[in-house]
Formats: sequence, C-alpha cells, structure tokens
Amino acid sequence: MGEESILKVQNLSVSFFTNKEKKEVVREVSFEIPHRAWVCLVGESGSGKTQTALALTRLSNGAELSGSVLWRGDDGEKDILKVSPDELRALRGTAISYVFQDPNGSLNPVMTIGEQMVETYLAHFKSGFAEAQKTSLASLAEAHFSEPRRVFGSFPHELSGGMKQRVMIAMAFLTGPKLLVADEPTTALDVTIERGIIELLRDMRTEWELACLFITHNIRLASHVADRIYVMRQGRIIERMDRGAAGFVPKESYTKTLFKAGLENVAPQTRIEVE
Amino acid sequence: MRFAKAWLLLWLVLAAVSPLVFKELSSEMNIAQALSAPSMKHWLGTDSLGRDLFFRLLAGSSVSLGVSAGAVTLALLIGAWLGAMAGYFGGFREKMIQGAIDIFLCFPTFFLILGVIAVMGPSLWNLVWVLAVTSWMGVARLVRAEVLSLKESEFVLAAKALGAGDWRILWKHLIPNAAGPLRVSAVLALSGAILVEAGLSFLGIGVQPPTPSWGNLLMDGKAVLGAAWWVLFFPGMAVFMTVLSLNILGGSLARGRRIDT
Repeated sequence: MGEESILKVQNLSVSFFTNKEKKEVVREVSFEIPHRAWVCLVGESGSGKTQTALALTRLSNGAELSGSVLWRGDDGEKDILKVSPDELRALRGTAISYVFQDPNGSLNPVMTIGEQMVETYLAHFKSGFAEAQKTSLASLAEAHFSEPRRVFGSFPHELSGGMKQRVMIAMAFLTGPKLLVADEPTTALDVTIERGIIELLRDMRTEWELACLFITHNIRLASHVADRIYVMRQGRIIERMDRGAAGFVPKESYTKTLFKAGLENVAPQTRIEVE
Repeated sequence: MRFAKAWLLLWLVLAAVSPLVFKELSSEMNIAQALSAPSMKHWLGTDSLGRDLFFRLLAGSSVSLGVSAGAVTLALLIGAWLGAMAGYFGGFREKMIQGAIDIFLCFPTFFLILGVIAVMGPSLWNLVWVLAVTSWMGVARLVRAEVLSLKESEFVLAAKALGAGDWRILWKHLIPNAAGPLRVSAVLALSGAILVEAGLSFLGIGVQPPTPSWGNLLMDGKAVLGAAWWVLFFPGMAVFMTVLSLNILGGSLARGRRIDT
C-alpha cells in the first residue's frame, strides 16, 4: 500500500450554523485513500461519517467546509473544495460516485430506471441515446441482474430494496468513477441481501480497479472487507488501523468497545418462570 | 364523475372541430326566423339575428375553451417556473418571487383585467395573457411548496452526486414530481378561467362580437330575455355544466392524490 493516494483529505471541518451558533460536526479530520484500496470509515451514528463523505464533493447542504480535499486525477492534483462549480459537476460521477444508505429514496419515483441511467450517462458524455442505453444495460448486467432489459424499463416502485440498491451501484459505476463512496449501503436492507451487495461491490471494484470509501457502523463488517479502517468519534478520527497479518489490531479502548458491541455479547434473557 | 368526464370530452372534441365545420353555419343570418323557439329545425332556437343558437354555442365553445385553456397553460408555465425557482434556490430570488406573488394577489383581479383590456383593446390574445398574468400565483405557491420538500429528498442528493446541474434537477426531477397536485390545480384553474372569460365577454370587454363565445352569447340573451328565454338559457347551461364538470373532475383527481385543495 505504499502507492500514492488518490484522495488526500487534510484538516477537513464541516460546520453548521444554527441561530448564529457554530456547530462543528466534523473536526479537522485527515485521511488518505490509496489507489485501489478499500478504506472503511467506522463510527456510531452522529459521529460525522456521512458529513465527511458528503463534504468530499461539497454535497453538504448549508454547511461551511474548511481544510482541503486533494484529488489526484489524470491531470494532476486539485483541491475539490476550491474548484469551480463546472469542474465540480464534472468531478461528481466521473471521479467520485456515491451509493447512499436508502435505496428507496435514492431513485426518482416518476422516472424509469432506464431514463435515470441514460440521463446520468448523457450528462457526462457526449453520445447518442443508443450508446447510453447499451452502456446502461451492460452496467445493469454487471450488477447481477439477469434481465437488465426488464429492470431498465421498470419504475423504482416495481423493484425491491435490494434490487434498487443494485441499480444504484450500477448507476454509480456507469460513469466510470475512480473512487466509490458507499455510505452505509446495506443498513436499510436485510442481512441476506447485505451479503449480496457487499459481494457485488467487491466484484465490481476488482473489475473496475477503483478505490472505495466504505462507511459503516459495523466494525466487524469493515474488518472483513477493508484494507484500512478509520474510526470516527464525535467528529474526529481517533484511530487508523491498517490490515496486518493478524487482521486489524485496535489500540484505542473505544475501538475495542466497538469490536465488542455485537449482539452476541448481550447476556441472554433469563427465562421467565410461569407457575 | 363519469358524466363529468364524458361531458368534458364531448366539448373538447366539439371545440376542436367546430371552427372547421360550423363557422359558416354559426354566422348565417336569417332575420325572418329571428328569435324562433327551439324546434326540429333549430334545436336550441335562434337569436335576435336569426342565427342558429346550437351552432353558435358550438362555435363559441372553441373560443371560450380555447381562451381559457391558453390562459391556464400560460399561467402554469409562469407559475411552475417561478415557484420552482423560489423553492429550489431560495435566498434573494425567493424573496423577489414571494414579493411578486404577494403584490399580484393584492390586485382585485377582475378590475385589473378590466383596466388592461380597456387600455390594450379586447383581442383574444390580450385576454389570454391577462388571464394568465393574474392567475399564476396559486400555481407558483403550490410548486414552491412541493419543491421545498422534494429538494431535500435522497434522489435529488443522488442526482447531484452523479453530477446533475441545478436546471437538470429542477426540470427532470422536481417539477415532474410535483405534477400530481399541479394537475389538480390546473383543472380547477380552468374552470375559474372559463367563468372569468364568460364574465368579461358578458360585460362586453372580452371576446368581441361577431365572434361567438359563451360569454357574449349570454350578453345577447340578456337583451332578449323577456321574449326568448332560450337565448340566455342554453349558453348559461353550457357554462354551468362545464364548470361543474371541471370541479368534479378536479375534486376526484385531488382525492386520488389524497391532497386537499
């Protein structure tokens, strides 16, 4: 992992203003995502994971951002927090793509899957409808859909949650990003589908050779898939762990607590005796 | 409900074909037969110049409905555009548009129309745009409210994250999602526009004779009410039934959407 980083975040802070009071939800976090690495950002809810992820392409709504987000593209390094709106729009999708937590809300209910995919493709590439459709269908097929054509013509409400999340992944890969930000992509889905989604992400990542920033509250899931884990708490990154021979070895007591936070460690309920 | 739909569909078809088919028949005068009562020859009777009322009603429908539909379409375009801008961008633009809405709502609509028509002259086009300019505010408020809540939804964030610009998000994602309530308000606005058009023509500042419209048929009828009830009755019924049908249709669309209007 000695390669140069594709994304280098330095002292990134995200703050919101409420009644003239400044509230900092992400406090001077710094982290790096190496080429083709799978990096996990782990923390409990409210720790600032999602705000960190959104800030990477200035998607934070109404927030003030400071620090720098250095993106190493084909044409050198640039600070995403300082690029022009047009450059930013070009970066979104082609450099960094997102998969969000709630697949049910992430698709426009009045457009078919196909329309949304074609629209996304045409927003970034000058091409005709036929080519956009071909690429979309190929992308859906890669997302393990056995009948891409049927999905292409479907409206979001005709698909299940897991299918929608696969559509979102297909859509995220459609524009050929270099970094995929997956913000708790499996939290809204049940456990069997979670596995499918994780495997799909892994397969597509290998095929497209891209880096992934995976956000989750489940540190054990993270330790299965990640090359590197950053642990966040109260808006700060408190620990960085790289995968070693023995997997991930936590040093901070908070991280150790997270590892122990699974349900199997809850004492089983004592039986209530009925006379 | 079914009757309302059938009635509207019937008039839609009649209004579309009547300029081609009934133009001659509707202006054919026959003084000898002036003010004859409804009969087999003249189904709805004739007016004071002996023109067949049935054909005049048909010809009038295309003018009345055409002017109203044009005005509502224009009002929808203005309202949806400004409302979406206000809701989506917020800030200064929203303040300006909100201010404009409040100002336009302050004018007594009917008298504003009277004034403008008096100055500009009562042509069909003037009628269309004046009606539109005085009725876009409701649409704008509706669209603004819809956009305000829709712009926070995940799919807008997702579209943004995939590189969609503001205009693309507005036209492709926000306004289509506001189409349901918009449709309801369009139908109700249409019934309002028909009434205003009829009122203006009745007062003689809307559609000008000899062009027939439901409003100036009413005006003709008023003059001869004592001698011939049918000249007033049938155009009145046409306006009444059409407006009633539109309101029923709008109400049922609104119930389908589970929103109150």
